[in-house]
Amino acid sequence: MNIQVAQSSLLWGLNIVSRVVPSSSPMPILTGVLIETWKGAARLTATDLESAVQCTIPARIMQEGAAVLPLKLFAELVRRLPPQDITLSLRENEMVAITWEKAQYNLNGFKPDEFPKMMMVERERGVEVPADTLIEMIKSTVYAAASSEDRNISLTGVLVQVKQGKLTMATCDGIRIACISRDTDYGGQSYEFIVPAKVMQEVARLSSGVDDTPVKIFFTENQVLFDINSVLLASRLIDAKFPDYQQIIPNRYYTSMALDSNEFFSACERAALVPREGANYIRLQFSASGVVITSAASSVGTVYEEVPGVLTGEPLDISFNPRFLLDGLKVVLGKPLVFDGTGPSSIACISSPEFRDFFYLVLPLRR
Amino acid sequence: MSFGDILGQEKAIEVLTRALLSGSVAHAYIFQGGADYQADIAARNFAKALNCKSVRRTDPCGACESCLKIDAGTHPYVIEVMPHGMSIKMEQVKKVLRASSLSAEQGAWKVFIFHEANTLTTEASNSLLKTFEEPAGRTVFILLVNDTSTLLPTIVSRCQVVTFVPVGAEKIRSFLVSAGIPEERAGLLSTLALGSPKRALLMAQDEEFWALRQYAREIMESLRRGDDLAGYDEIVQDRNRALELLGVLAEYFRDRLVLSLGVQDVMYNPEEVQAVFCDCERQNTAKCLACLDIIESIRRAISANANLRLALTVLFIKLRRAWFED
Amino acid sequence: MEYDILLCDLDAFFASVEQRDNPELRDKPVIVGGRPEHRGVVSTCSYQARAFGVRSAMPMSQAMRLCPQAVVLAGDMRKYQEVSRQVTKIYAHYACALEIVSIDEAYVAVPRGLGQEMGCLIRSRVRNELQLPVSVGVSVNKLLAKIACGLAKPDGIRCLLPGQVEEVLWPMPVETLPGVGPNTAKRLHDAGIRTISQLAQCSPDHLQAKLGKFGPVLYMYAHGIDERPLETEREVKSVSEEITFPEDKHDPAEVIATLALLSEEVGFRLRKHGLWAKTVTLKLRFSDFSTITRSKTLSEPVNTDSTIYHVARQLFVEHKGRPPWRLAGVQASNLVRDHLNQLNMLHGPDEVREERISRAADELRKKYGRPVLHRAGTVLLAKGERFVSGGKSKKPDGLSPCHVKPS
Repeated sequence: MNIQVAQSSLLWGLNIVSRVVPSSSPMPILTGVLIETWKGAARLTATDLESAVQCTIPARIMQEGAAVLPLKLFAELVRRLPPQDITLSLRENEMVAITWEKAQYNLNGFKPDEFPKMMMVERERGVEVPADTLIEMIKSTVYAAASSEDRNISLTGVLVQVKQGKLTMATCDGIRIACISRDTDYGGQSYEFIVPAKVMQEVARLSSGVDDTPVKIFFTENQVLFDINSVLLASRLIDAKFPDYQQIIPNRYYTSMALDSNEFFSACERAALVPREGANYIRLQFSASGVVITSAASSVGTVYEEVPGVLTGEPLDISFNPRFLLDGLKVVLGKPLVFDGTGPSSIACISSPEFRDFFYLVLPLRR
Repeated sequence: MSFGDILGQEKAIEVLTRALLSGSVAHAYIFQGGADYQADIAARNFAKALNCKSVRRTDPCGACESCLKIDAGTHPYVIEVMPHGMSIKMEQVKKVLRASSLSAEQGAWKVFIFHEANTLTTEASNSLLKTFEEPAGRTVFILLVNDTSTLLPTIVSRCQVVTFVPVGAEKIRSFLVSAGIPEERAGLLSTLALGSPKRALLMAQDEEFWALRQYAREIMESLRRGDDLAGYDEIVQDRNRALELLGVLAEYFRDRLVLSLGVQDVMYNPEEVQAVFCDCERQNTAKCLACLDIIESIRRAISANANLRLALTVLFIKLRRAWFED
Repeated sequence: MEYDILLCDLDAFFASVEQRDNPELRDKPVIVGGRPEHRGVVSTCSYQARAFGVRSAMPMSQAMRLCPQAVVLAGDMRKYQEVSRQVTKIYAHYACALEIVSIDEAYVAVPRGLGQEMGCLIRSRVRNELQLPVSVGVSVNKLLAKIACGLAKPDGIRCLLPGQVEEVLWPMPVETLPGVGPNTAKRLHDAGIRTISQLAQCSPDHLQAKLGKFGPVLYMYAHGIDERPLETEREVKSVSEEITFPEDKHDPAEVIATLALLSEEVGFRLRKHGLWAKTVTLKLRFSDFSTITRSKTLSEPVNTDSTIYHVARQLFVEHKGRPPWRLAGVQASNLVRDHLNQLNMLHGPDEVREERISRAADELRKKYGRPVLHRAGTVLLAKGERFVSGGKSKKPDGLSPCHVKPS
């Protein structure tokens, strides 16, 4: 391999792929980036065996081929190079010579044959989603995925359901369920699959810079591929059964209150400062005039705050771990908010009439 | 490497090739016999055969992308787990379980090989157990152990046990010779390696091991001649080397014991014993046993951190008294 | 900030309470204590009884001989505790810091220079509101406050300034000083030291040679210097239980069974105080007396027996080292109060059942005063070993604790 690339585009590419690379690994080659010539350009790939990121940068190809370099060190080096063309050429024993102006840096690499193969999906089934919609969907759900796989491994992922005209994402960690749907022009068969939450966060990050270009999502039985303005992110799927969250959605609510989300959120956030040091809850008492938020910790102090609201149904006295409450409120911040309850020790729901097809179900603390 | 290259494990290989041919692969295996009897090679070969793009009957090609990556340890679906420090820990098993829950390419097999699986912590074993109870498709767990009794019985009952047996001396000898080891060393090692070709090869290439044997012979020589032994104990400074030296001495007396009982054919090293003891026609069973006892007591003292030089000096004095003085 | 220290001591506390509540006992010798036929001892006696030579801790039979006309009462501990709480409330009103020494004695720290005044206030409030006599010693540290209080009795207040040490303290016998029990006293007497004055003339080195570490401390006491801080009532910081095995244990299963038992004990005490723990620590001592502690901090605080046990067991499995084991201990720390359990849709019947079992075991234990329900695994242990008590060994009472057995 012998290619010439601009320092700026190489650095851009390395930054994109660096996110999936582990800083250390029992397989040293996984800390590397695969650089290969491809259709007159240079293609960079990095993987942690769970997912892989690939992007293509313009290059002048003097000789076709491939090389694997330790990503961290290589990126550190490229960042410090002058903004001009750089030549990468493969020497004997996987060594790559990096030359610019009158300088040369020789870096030991790995065997490209041993680099784990990127799972590139055949692009048959897919759906297109505007980048901002995709980001909105991910940000509305991904935080509620379970962080440990102790109970049910499927919960560490985001359930993605594709139906005619509809794309849905749902997460659940046992304490809460976040779910959001958006319209699409998908006309095919229904599919659903579970994408690791970490990958979804990466999708949101990569999508945030691409304005109008829709993100294409392709999927098969065993993998998913996100095409984000030509940056490709492929991931294995979580091969487990996601719980049937639909059956947890209550049929009816006994308490319902319309509130100003900003006011309610700020009040809860303030009240949450106190329990941080002691008890783990804030208490919400819904009555005809609004909601009273209280919390107390003997070592810190007490909080009492009233937020006006319109009550339908019965009054409710309910306590939450503030973290779980705030997570859901954050999604509907700035929009009118509806809090629905089914009882002091049973599930509650946060939604907004102006943020359609989203709901956040959360379990309270036992009284 | 193909299954055919694995020495003396016809039975085990037959079980595995039959599974490959019939496609009825168990969800979890225990390869009893461990790396000593090449179960590690068999496990890796099995993983390769399951995933090989151009498998010939049951042998993996060894050249396709999948085979190369399994050899390089970079195959996305074939993961080998070694003990971290003293044991295989919960964290490592968690990573494996996570990897096993991720989808794989069409037709691919996820294979997880646990080396020295007897070092799995109880907690780690229990979390594996849960997985064994709910088998997933095209996933194989292989536990390598020397002996199944070191595993939780609940684990053993959920696995198919494939037994790898000690390799015959003759097979090891010819294997060593074909690996370029001189005949005389190969002959001795074929019995000393206790059925493990791997160990035989390691010993063959360990020059310190041969130096130690030489040294052991010199010690016996000096003892017999009644030479002054001062200074000999200086040579062995390392506790492990000292223990190995005791092993060699024990081996001599063991062979001499066997000889005194008239069962020459189970001797490790008849020629050397002849040279070490110039009195091989005499029946000295009781003396042999006494010397073995002495060696054992010194071995224990050294393991329990006794002063090395002192322990060896005591050893030499006692051995001379017990064996060479009447 | 500098404080004056008051020692407030309720005079003949139990007897005074009885005299207050039963006007017919006033001015009579009153003894509160165990009955003579039960080898009881005097716990308190009124000043009228003291006039006959009756003293606290004296065998009741002897007290009766000295003062046959005394009214003997068994006493009502619950009532005294309640009264003590009321008194403490008054102290707390004036205190910058408060050390409750016993049911009738407390050190109160007040701003420097206000000791005399505050002492008078406390005395008059206790007298007016509770009709009880209290003596107050005022000084700058606990030692001198205690000495002053002794001088103030009965029902008085006395101030002792550091400048008066020579005049007041020195003539007193060495036994007056805190920490000088019969043993130390004997050693001092043997060295010809009987008064505090003599003690004060010794060199600290000399005393160190004679009494060890305590020597120099005693020297400081003799000069009226005492730097002990007030031991204020602190929140419970941790709950721990440990047991030294009667014989070293070789079988890990037995240690694990012991951990179950210790966890039950720790869980019970946590629940009794309404506390949850975020950190569980395992302590192990090996036969060579080397000791390790290993902790795990959890994301959610716990207080059920089984959750504590599972963490302790996991720590043991990971760090058990080489047998035999000499001691095992379980500690819960990083405590939080007022914790509510998070409901979880994934919690199966197991978790719910576990909570109920813990609650039922607690109820039974409160009813019978000792553990009556145990985890099945603990039957591995010998009968006597199924009782645990934080470091201080509690004697087995011989009853089988395995099943419910009302006495």
